[in-house]
Amino acid sequence: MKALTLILVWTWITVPLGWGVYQSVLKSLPLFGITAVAK
Amino acid sequence: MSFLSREATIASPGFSRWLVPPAAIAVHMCIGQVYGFSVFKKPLARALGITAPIAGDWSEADVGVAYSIALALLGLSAAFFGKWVERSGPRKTMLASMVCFCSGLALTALAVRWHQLWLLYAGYGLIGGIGLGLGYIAPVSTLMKWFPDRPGMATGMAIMGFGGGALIGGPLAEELMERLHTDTSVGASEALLVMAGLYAISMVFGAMLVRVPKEGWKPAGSEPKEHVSKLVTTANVTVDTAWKTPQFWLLWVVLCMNVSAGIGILGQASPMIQDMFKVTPKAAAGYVGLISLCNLGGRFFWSSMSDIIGRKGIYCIYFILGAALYASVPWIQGQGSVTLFVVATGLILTMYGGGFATIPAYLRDLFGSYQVGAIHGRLITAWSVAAILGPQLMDRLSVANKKVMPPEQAYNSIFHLMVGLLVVGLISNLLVRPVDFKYHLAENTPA
Repeated sequence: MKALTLILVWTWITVPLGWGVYQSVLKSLPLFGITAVAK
Repeated sequence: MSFLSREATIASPGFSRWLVPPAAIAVHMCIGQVYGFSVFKKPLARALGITAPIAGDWSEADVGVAYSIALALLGLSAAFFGKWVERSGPRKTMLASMVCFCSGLALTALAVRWHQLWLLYAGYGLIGGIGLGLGYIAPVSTLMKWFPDRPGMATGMAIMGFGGGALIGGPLAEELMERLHTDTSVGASEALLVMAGLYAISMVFGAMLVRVPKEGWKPAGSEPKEHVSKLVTTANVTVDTAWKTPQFWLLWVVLCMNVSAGIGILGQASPMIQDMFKVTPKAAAGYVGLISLCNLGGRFFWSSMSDIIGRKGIYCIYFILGAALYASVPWIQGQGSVTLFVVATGLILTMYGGGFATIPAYLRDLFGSYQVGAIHGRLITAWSVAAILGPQLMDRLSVANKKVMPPEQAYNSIFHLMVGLLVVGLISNLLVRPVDFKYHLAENTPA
């Protein structure tokens, strides 16, 4: 139960943070001459 | 005993301290939205004209003032409410932060709808700014109490969340405005309301989850270290005494110089790389994205490293390596290497973020954990000053230089100035000594 709570709580913050990091990685791709496929 | 009181948040036996970082990050990643506020500048500057600015529309500079007010209020409210934050505990403070920050966003939405500039300043700048200050310091001091064995890593996690808030807030606002705009609205008002709702949920989540450790609690299996730096005290210093010590003001200069040197680059990153290396605007936007990631990663990495190297040592690295990298940029430009430029400035930005994240642990080392949140609150005024000093220096010098030299050479003197700022920071850091015993709180005083 304790482990499940920890997983759920960490997921709550890692999902939006991961999305934000992903958006920044996509934004930075043109610097390397790579075209992003997804928006 | 109120549900919101400090006593109500004391953890029961068996509570995992690893539940506290997500509570802190949940708040910080919301208030970090302030760094992504710039995405609203263009839409708000054509709120009346919708497709293009018309007479009566705000200018982008008008809109930008709200951001400056918010950052100034962050520092002022953190300094002013620091003692209240320590007294009231993290839950009440986080909820107060949520009320201020989210109602600030909602008022901003109304300001856009009614086209009232004063309401934008009062909502986003004043009320929202107070929410930023409250939300910034409360989780940080709570985390340090839970992780006395790794305070640098703990504060790094929370303050990394603040950096992450910019990475979420910017794209989220763009996505929402894209979906919610109509023929009669740029979508900013609607986006701000949705964001206020989402952020309120996340911040309430953090406030419900947060706990403080019981008096005298220590992490299981933690042994007192044999070789502890002389700078790390076991005594406590109150906030009213702390800011009368030379150590407080030396750290104030340390933070102010470190932030000034980094924030100048952040604000000018896109035009700077375009002027210096003639890259396309799209690639320049990519550069901004990349250094934002460096800023984020540095907050956790360097702050965690400070638990091993020591706080004074890690700031020496920030200042010496930072100054060397800044000094090398004109040479790198001469080589025409964009890659080297990106690596050098990216590294500088990791240390900019690291400087933010390490300072609370440095304060704890010097002044103890008793009122470290309130002391941190007062030190944050250095950030407010740097937020004005750094961009102003960069803007004014680059504009003046561009009048008398080609744009690609206009930044060299700025980099030399940044080296100077970092040297001032280094000297201040080297002057830091343990706090004199006369400032310590008497041992029998209840902490």
